Amino acid sequence: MLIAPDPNMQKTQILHRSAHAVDITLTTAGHTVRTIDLGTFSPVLTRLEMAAYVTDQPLIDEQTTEYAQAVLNCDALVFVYATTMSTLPPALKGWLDRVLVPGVSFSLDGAGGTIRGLAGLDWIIGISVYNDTWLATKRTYDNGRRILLRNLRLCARPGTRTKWLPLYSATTADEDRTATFISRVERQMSKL
Amino acid sequence: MTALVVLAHPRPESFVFAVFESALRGLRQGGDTPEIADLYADEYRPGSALSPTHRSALDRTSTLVLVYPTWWTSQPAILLGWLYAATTEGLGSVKSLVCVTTHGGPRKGNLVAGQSGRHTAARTVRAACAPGASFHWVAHYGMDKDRQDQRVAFLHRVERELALLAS
Repeated sequence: MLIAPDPNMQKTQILHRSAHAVDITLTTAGHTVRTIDLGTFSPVLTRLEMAAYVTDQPLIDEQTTEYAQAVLNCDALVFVYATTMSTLPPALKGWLDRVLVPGVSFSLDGAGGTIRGLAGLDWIIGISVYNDTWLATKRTYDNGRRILLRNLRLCARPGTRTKWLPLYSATTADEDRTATFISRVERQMSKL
Repeated sequence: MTALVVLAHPRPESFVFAVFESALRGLRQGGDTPEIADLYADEYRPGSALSPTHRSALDRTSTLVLVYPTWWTSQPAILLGWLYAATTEGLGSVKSLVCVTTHGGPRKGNLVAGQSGRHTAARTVRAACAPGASFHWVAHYGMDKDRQDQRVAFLHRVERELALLAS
Protein backbone atom coordinates (compact mmCIF):
# COMPACT_ATOMS: atom_id res chain seq x y z
CA MET A 1 0.00 0.00 0.00
CA LEU A 2 1.24 3.45 -0.92
CA ILE A 3 0.06 6.60 0.78
CA ALA A 4 0.73 10.06 -0.64
CA PRO A 5 -0.17 12.83 1.80
CA ASP A 6 -1.93 16.04 0.80
CA PRO A 7 -1.45 19.63 2.01
CA ASN A 8 -5.15 19.75 2.90
CA MET A 9 -5.61 18.44 6.46
CA GLN A 10 -9.17 17.17 5.99
CA LYS A 11 -8.23 15.17 2.91
CA THR A 12 -5.12 13.80 4.64
CA GLN A 13 -7.25 12.64 7.57
CA ILE A 14 -9.60 10.78 5.21
CA LEU A 15 -6.59 9.23 3.45
CA HIS A 16 -5.14 8.02 6.75
CA ARG A 17 -8.49 6.61 7.87
CA SER A 18 -8.76 4.80 4.53
CA ALA A 19 -5.22 3.45 4.81
CA HIS A 20 -5.93 2.28 8.36
CA ALA A 21 -9.09 0.49 7.13
CA VAL A 22 -7.06 -1.22 4.39
CA ASP A 23 -4.38 -2.29 6.85
CA ILE A 24 -6.76 -3.63 9.53
CA THR A 25 -9.08 -5.42 7.09
CA LEU A 26 -6.30 -7.14 5.17
CA THR A 27 -4.27 -8.01 8.28
CA THR A 28 -7.34 -9.47 9.98
CA ALA A 29 -7.93 -11.61 6.88
CA GLY A 30 -4.42 -13.02 7.21
CA HIS A 31 -2.62 -10.95 4.60
CA THR A 32 0.69 -9.19 5.14
CA VAL A 33 0.52 -5.46 4.48
CA ARG A 34 3.53 -3.35 3.65
CA THR A 35 2.78 0.37 3.92
CA ILE A 36 4.91 2.94 2.13
CA ASP A 37 4.31 6.53 3.21
CA LEU A 38 5.55 8.87 0.49
CA GLY A 39 5.66 11.88 2.83
CA THR A 40 9.45 12.05 2.77
CA PHE A 41 10.07 10.37 -0.60
CA SER A 42 11.93 12.50 -3.14
CA PRO A 43 9.88 12.27 -6.36
CA VAL A 44 12.50 13.77 -8.68
CA LEU A 45 14.26 11.30 -10.96
CA THR A 46 17.90 12.32 -10.77
CA ARG A 47 20.48 12.90 -13.48
CA LEU A 48 22.28 9.67 -12.50
CA GLU A 49 19.03 7.68 -12.50
CA MET A 50 18.24 9.00 -15.96
CA ALA A 51 21.66 7.84 -17.16
CA ALA A 52 21.11 4.42 -15.59
CA TYR A 53 17.56 4.13 -17.00
CA VAL A 54 18.77 2.77 -20.34
CA THR A 55 21.27 0.33 -18.82
CA ASP A 56 20.77 -3.20 -17.47
CA GLN A 57 20.71 -1.81 -13.94
CA PRO A 58 18.36 1.18 -13.88
CA LEU A 59 17.88 1.08 -10.10
CA ILE A 60 20.86 2.75 -8.43
CA ASP A 61 19.28 4.00 -5.22
CA GLU A 62 18.97 1.72 -2.18
CA GLN A 63 15.46 2.88 -1.30
CA THR A 64 14.00 2.61 -4.82
CA THR A 65 15.64 -0.80 -5.25
CA GLU A 66 13.96 -2.02 -2.07
CA TYR A 67 10.60 -0.58 -3.18
CA ALA A 68 10.96 -2.28 -6.57
CA GLN A 69 11.60 -5.63 -4.86
CA ALA A 70 8.50 -5.12 -2.70
CA VAL A 71 6.43 -4.44 -5.84
CA LEU A 72 7.70 -7.59 -7.54
CA ASN A 73 6.87 -9.67 -4.45
CA CYS A 74 3.36 -8.35 -3.79
CA ASP A 75 -0.03 -9.68 -4.93
CA ALA A 76 -1.90 -6.38 -4.74
CA LEU A 77 -0.98 -2.73 -5.09
CA VAL A 78 -3.21 -0.32 -3.19
CA PHE A 79 -2.76 3.40 -3.88
CA VAL A 80 -4.16 5.90 -1.37
CA TYR A 81 -3.88 9.53 -2.43
CA ALA A 82 -5.63 12.82 -3.14
CA THR A 83 -6.15 13.55 -6.82
CA THR A 84 -4.25 16.76 -7.55
CA MET A 85 -4.72 18.80 -10.74
CA SER A 86 -6.84 15.90 -12.08
CA THR A 87 -3.85 13.55 -11.87
CA LEU A 88 -1.45 11.84 -9.45
CA PRO A 89 0.24 14.05 -6.85
CA PRO A 90 3.95 14.61 -7.63
CA ALA A 91 5.05 12.29 -4.79
CA LEU A 92 3.19 9.34 -6.28
CA LYS A 93 4.00 10.17 -9.89
CA GLY A 94 7.67 10.41 -8.90
CA TRP A 95 7.43 7.02 -7.22
CA LEU A 96 6.26 5.54 -10.54
CA ASP A 97 9.02 7.41 -12.41
CA ARG A 98 11.81 6.25 -10.09
CA VAL A 99 10.72 2.76 -8.98
CA LEU A 100 8.76 1.24 -11.86
CA VAL A 101 11.65 1.37 -14.31
CA PRO A 102 12.54 -1.10 -17.09
CA GLY A 103 13.13 -4.52 -15.58
CA VAL A 104 10.51 -3.94 -12.89
CA SER A 105 7.16 -3.05 -14.44
CA PHE A 106 8.10 -3.69 -18.07
CA SER A 107 10.96 -4.55 -20.39
CA LEU A 108 11.67 -3.45 -23.92
CA ASP A 109 11.62 -6.28 -26.45
CA GLY A 110 14.16 -4.61 -28.73
CA ALA A 111 11.64 -4.13 -31.54
CA GLY A 112 9.87 -1.12 -30.06
CA GLY A 113 7.40 -3.18 -28.04
CA THR A 114 7.17 -3.83 -24.31
CA ILE A 115 6.95 -6.98 -22.20
CA ARG A 116 4.76 -6.91 -19.09
CA GLY A 117 6.78 -7.04 -15.87
CA LEU A 118 4.21 -7.27 -13.08
CA ALA A 119 3.28 -10.89 -13.75
CA GLY A 120 2.49 -11.73 -10.12
CA LEU A 121 0.02 -8.92 -9.50
CA ASP A 122 -3.61 -9.95 -8.82
CA TRP A 123 -5.07 -6.55 -7.96
CA ILE A 124 -4.52 -2.85 -8.62
CA ILE A 125 -6.70 -0.75 -6.34
CA GLY A 126 -6.98 3.02 -6.19
CA ILE A 127 -8.47 4.89 -3.24
CA SER A 128 -8.61 8.57 -4.05
CA VAL A 129 -10.22 11.68 -2.61
CA TYR A 130 -11.13 14.54 -4.93
CA ASN A 131 -11.87 18.24 -4.50
CA ASP A 132 -14.22 18.06 -7.48
CA THR A 133 -17.61 16.54 -8.05
CA TRP A 134 -18.01 13.38 -10.15
CA LEU A 135 -19.00 15.44 -13.20
CA ALA A 136 -16.09 17.90 -12.92
CA THR A 137 -13.72 14.97 -12.45
CA LYS A 138 -14.98 13.29 -15.62
CA ARG A 139 -14.67 16.55 -17.55
CA THR A 140 -10.96 16.67 -16.74
CA TYR A 141 -10.53 12.97 -17.61
CA ASP A 142 -9.57 11.70 -14.13
CA ASN A 143 -5.97 11.29 -15.24
CA GLY A 144 -4.57 9.69 -12.09
CA ARG A 145 -7.08 6.89 -12.47
CA ARG A 146 -6.10 6.54 -16.14
CA ILE A 147 -2.41 6.18 -15.25
CA LEU A 148 -3.05 3.48 -12.65
CA LEU A 149 -5.92 1.51 -14.18
CA ARG A 150 -4.82 1.78 -17.81
CA ASN A 151 -1.11 2.43 -18.07
CA LEU A 152 0.02 0.49 -15.00
CA ARG A 153 -2.60 -2.19 -15.69
CA LEU A 154 -0.97 -2.75 -19.08
CA CYS A 155 2.21 -3.76 -17.21
CA ALA A 156 0.39 -6.50 -15.29
CA ARG A 157 -0.79 -9.88 -16.51
CA PRO A 158 -4.10 -10.00 -18.43
CA GLY A 159 -6.04 -11.48 -15.48
CA THR A 160 -5.11 -8.73 -13.03
CA ARG A 161 -8.24 -7.15 -11.55
CA THR A 162 -8.77 -3.47 -10.78
CA LYS A 163 -10.98 -1.50 -8.43
CA TRP A 164 -11.44 2.24 -7.99
CA LEU A 165 -12.79 3.72 -4.77
CA PRO A 166 -13.34 7.48 -5.13
CA LEU A 167 -14.63 10.06 -2.68
CA TYR A 168 -15.73 13.13 -4.65
CA SER A 169 -16.14 16.61 -3.13
CA ALA A 170 -14.02 15.41 -0.22
CA THR A 171 -13.46 18.84 1.32
CA THR A 172 -17.19 19.14 2.01
CA ALA A 173 -17.65 15.54 3.17
CA ASP A 174 -19.28 15.33 6.62
CA GLU A 175 -18.68 12.49 9.08
CA ASP A 176 -21.57 10.40 7.74
CA ARG A 177 -20.33 10.47 4.16
CA THR A 178 -16.75 9.81 5.25
CA ALA A 179 -17.81 6.86 7.40
CA THR A 180 -19.84 5.42 4.51
CA PHE A 181 -16.77 5.71 2.31
CA ILE A 182 -14.53 4.00 4.88
CA SER A 183 -17.08 1.17 5.15
CA ARG A 184 -16.93 0.77 1.39
CA VAL A 185 -13.14 0.54 1.57
CA GLU A 186 -13.41 -2.15 4.25
CA ARG A 187 -15.97 -4.14 2.23
CA GLN A 188 -13.79 -4.05 -0.87
CA MET A 189 -10.66 -5.08 1.02
CA SER A 190 -12.47 -8.01 2.61
CA LYS A 191 -13.08 -9.36 -0.92
CA LEU A 192 -9.37 -9.69 -1.66
CA MET B 1 4.50 38.25 -26.90
CA THR B 2 6.88 37.02 -24.23
CA ALA B 3 7.39 33.29 -23.86
CA LEU B 4 8.55 31.36 -20.84
CA VAL B 5 10.04 27.98 -21.76
CA VAL B 6 10.00 25.47 -18.91
CA LEU B 7 12.39 22.53 -19.26
CA ALA B 8 12.00 19.34 -17.21
CA HIS B 9 14.78 16.92 -18.08
CA PRO B 10 17.90 16.10 -16.04
CA ARG B 11 20.38 15.40 -18.85
CA PRO B 12 21.82 18.00 -21.27
CA GLU B 13 22.87 15.12 -23.60
CA SER B 14 19.24 14.09 -24.13
CA PHE B 15 17.02 14.49 -27.17
CA VAL B 16 14.64 16.58 -25.06
CA PHE B 17 17.45 19.13 -24.63
CA ALA B 18 17.80 19.30 -28.42
CA VAL B 19 14.04 19.82 -28.61
CA PHE B 20 14.33 22.59 -26.04
CA GLU B 21 17.02 24.32 -28.13
CA SER B 22 14.81 24.03 -31.20
CA ALA B 23 11.90 25.60 -29.33
CA LEU B 24 14.10 28.53 -28.31
CA ARG B 25 15.39 28.96 -31.88
CA GLY B 26 11.84 28.93 -33.24
CA LEU B 27 10.62 31.52 -30.76
CA ARG B 28 13.58 33.81 -31.53
CA GLN B 29 12.99 33.45 -35.27
CA GLY B 30 9.41 34.57 -34.65
CA GLY B 31 10.67 37.72 -32.93
CA ASP B 32 10.30 36.66 -29.31
CA THR B 33 12.84 36.95 -26.50
CA PRO B 34 12.04 33.82 -24.54
CA GLU B 35 12.84 33.38 -20.87
CA ILE B 36 13.88 30.02 -19.46
CA ALA B 37 12.97 28.01 -16.37
CA ASP B 38 15.19 24.93 -16.24
CA LEU B 39 13.67 23.02 -13.34
CA TYR B 40 16.63 20.70 -12.77
CA ALA B 41 19.29 23.38 -13.11
CA ASP B 42 17.28 25.70 -10.86
CA GLU B 43 16.88 22.83 -8.34
CA TYR B 44 13.12 23.12 -8.07
CA ARG B 45 11.61 20.74 -5.49
CA PRO B 46 7.96 19.60 -5.81
CA GLY B 47 5.94 20.81 -2.87
CA SER B 48 7.75 24.15 -2.66
CA ALA B 49 6.54 27.51 -3.96
CA LEU B 50 7.85 28.96 -7.20
CA SER B 51 11.12 30.83 -6.88
CA PRO B 52 10.84 34.64 -7.19
CA THR B 53 12.63 34.39 -10.57
CA HIS B 54 10.13 31.87 -11.93
CA ARG B 55 7.19 33.77 -10.44
CA SER B 56 8.17 37.08 -12.01
CA ALA B 57 8.92 35.38 -15.35
CA LEU B 58 5.46 33.78 -15.25
CA ASP B 59 3.84 37.14 -14.54
CA ARG B 60 5.51 38.61 -17.62
CA THR B 61 4.69 35.76 -19.98
CA SER B 62 1.77 35.37 -22.34
CA THR B 63 3.01 32.07 -23.80
CA LEU B 64 3.96 29.19 -21.54
CA VAL B 65 5.96 26.47 -23.31
CA LEU B 66 6.47 23.18 -21.45
CA VAL B 67 9.28 20.97 -22.79
CA TYR B 68 9.45 17.53 -21.18
CA PRO B 69 9.66 13.78 -21.74
CA THR B 70 6.40 11.92 -21.25
CA TRP B 71 6.81 9.25 -18.56
CA TRP B 72 3.89 7.00 -17.61
CA THR B 73 1.82 8.95 -20.18
CA SER B 74 2.24 12.08 -18.05
CA GLN B 75 4.57 14.88 -17.07
CA PRO B 76 7.62 14.10 -14.89
CA ALA B 77 6.99 14.63 -11.18
CA ILE B 78 9.24 17.72 -11.06
CA LEU B 79 7.06 19.42 -13.70
CA LEU B 80 3.80 18.31 -12.07
CA GLY B 81 5.01 19.86 -8.82
CA TRP B 82 5.94 23.09 -10.57
CA LEU B 83 2.62 23.23 -12.42
CA TYR B 84 0.73 22.63 -9.18
CA ALA B 85 2.52 25.57 -7.55
CA ALA B 86 2.01 27.72 -10.66
CA THR B 87 -1.71 26.97 -10.99
CA THR B 88 -2.26 27.50 -7.27
CA GLU B 89 -0.51 30.89 -7.37
CA GLY B 90 -2.09 31.85 -10.71
CA LEU B 91 -1.43 31.67 -14.45
CA GLY B 92 -3.67 34.58 -15.37
CA SER B 93 -1.21 36.19 -17.79
CA VAL B 94 -0.88 33.05 -19.94
CA LYS B 95 -2.88 33.27 -23.17
CA SER B 96 -1.23 30.38 -24.93
CA LEU B 97 -0.15 27.04 -23.45
CA VAL B 98 2.22 24.87 -25.50
CA CYS B 99 3.35 21.31 -24.71
CA VAL B 100 6.41 20.05 -26.56
CA THR B 101 7.02 16.48 -25.54
CA THR B 102 8.51 13.12 -26.49
CA HIS B 103 7.10 9.62 -26.00
CA GLY B 104 8.91 6.27 -25.94
CA GLY B 105 5.91 4.38 -27.28
CA PRO B 106 3.76 4.94 -30.37
CA ARG B 107 0.81 7.34 -30.61
CA LYS B 108 -1.73 4.52 -30.56
CA GLY B 109 -0.19 2.93 -27.46
CA ASN B 110 -0.30 6.26 -25.66
CA LEU B 111 -3.96 6.68 -26.61
CA VAL B 112 -4.81 3.26 -25.20
CA ALA B 113 -2.88 4.06 -22.03
CA GLY B 114 -4.97 7.19 -21.51
CA GLN B 115 -2.71 10.09 -22.64
CA SER B 116 -3.03 11.59 -19.19
CA GLY B 117 -0.38 14.26 -19.62
CA ARG B 118 -2.14 15.78 -22.59
CA HIS B 119 -5.48 15.89 -20.75
CA THR B 120 -3.92 17.35 -17.61
CA ALA B 121 -2.36 20.17 -19.61
CA ALA B 122 -5.24 20.80 -22.02
CA ARG B 123 -7.99 20.71 -19.39
CA THR B 124 -6.68 21.41 -15.92
CA VAL B 125 -3.63 23.63 -16.50
CA ARG B 126 -5.30 25.57 -19.33
CA ALA B 127 -8.31 26.21 -17.08
CA ALA B 128 -5.97 28.11 -14.73
CA CYS B 129 -4.69 30.31 -17.58
CA ALA B 130 -6.37 33.46 -18.94
CA PRO B 131 -9.95 32.92 -20.18
CA GLY B 132 -9.94 31.60 -23.75
CA ALA B 133 -6.27 30.59 -23.63
CA SER B 134 -5.22 28.44 -26.57
CA PHE B 135 -3.60 25.02 -26.29
CA HIS B 136 -0.97 23.56 -28.64
CA TRP B 137 0.31 19.99 -28.60
CA VAL B 138 3.62 19.29 -30.37
CA ALA B 139 4.57 15.67 -29.75
CA HIS B 140 7.04 13.09 -30.98
CA TYR B 141 6.03 9.43 -30.59
CA GLY B 142 7.84 6.11 -30.83
CA MET B 143 11.32 7.05 -29.60
CA ASP B 144 11.95 3.43 -28.61
CA LYS B 145 12.43 2.51 -32.27
CA ASP B 146 12.53 5.68 -34.33
CA ARG B 147 15.21 6.71 -36.82
CA GLN B 148 17.62 9.61 -36.73
CA ASP B 149 15.89 11.37 -39.65
CA GLN B 150 12.55 11.23 -37.81
CA ARG B 151 14.10 12.94 -34.81
CA VAL B 152 15.67 15.60 -37.00
CA ALA B 153 12.30 16.14 -38.68
CA PHE B 154 10.71 16.65 -35.27
CA LEU B 155 13.34 19.24 -34.32
CA HIS B 156 12.52 21.15 -37.51
CA ARG B 157 8.81 20.86 -36.78
CA VAL B 158 9.26 22.28 -33.27
CA GLU B 159 11.28 25.20 -34.63
CA ARG B 160 8.71 25.89 -37.35
CA GLU B 161 5.65 25.69 -35.12
CA LEU B 162 7.15 27.81 -32.34
CA ALA B 163 8.27 30.44 -34.88
CA LEU B 164 4.72 30.58 -36.22
CA LEU B 165 3.32 30.94 -32.71
CA ALA B 166 5.72 33.77 -31.88
CA SER B 167 5.11 35.74 -35.06
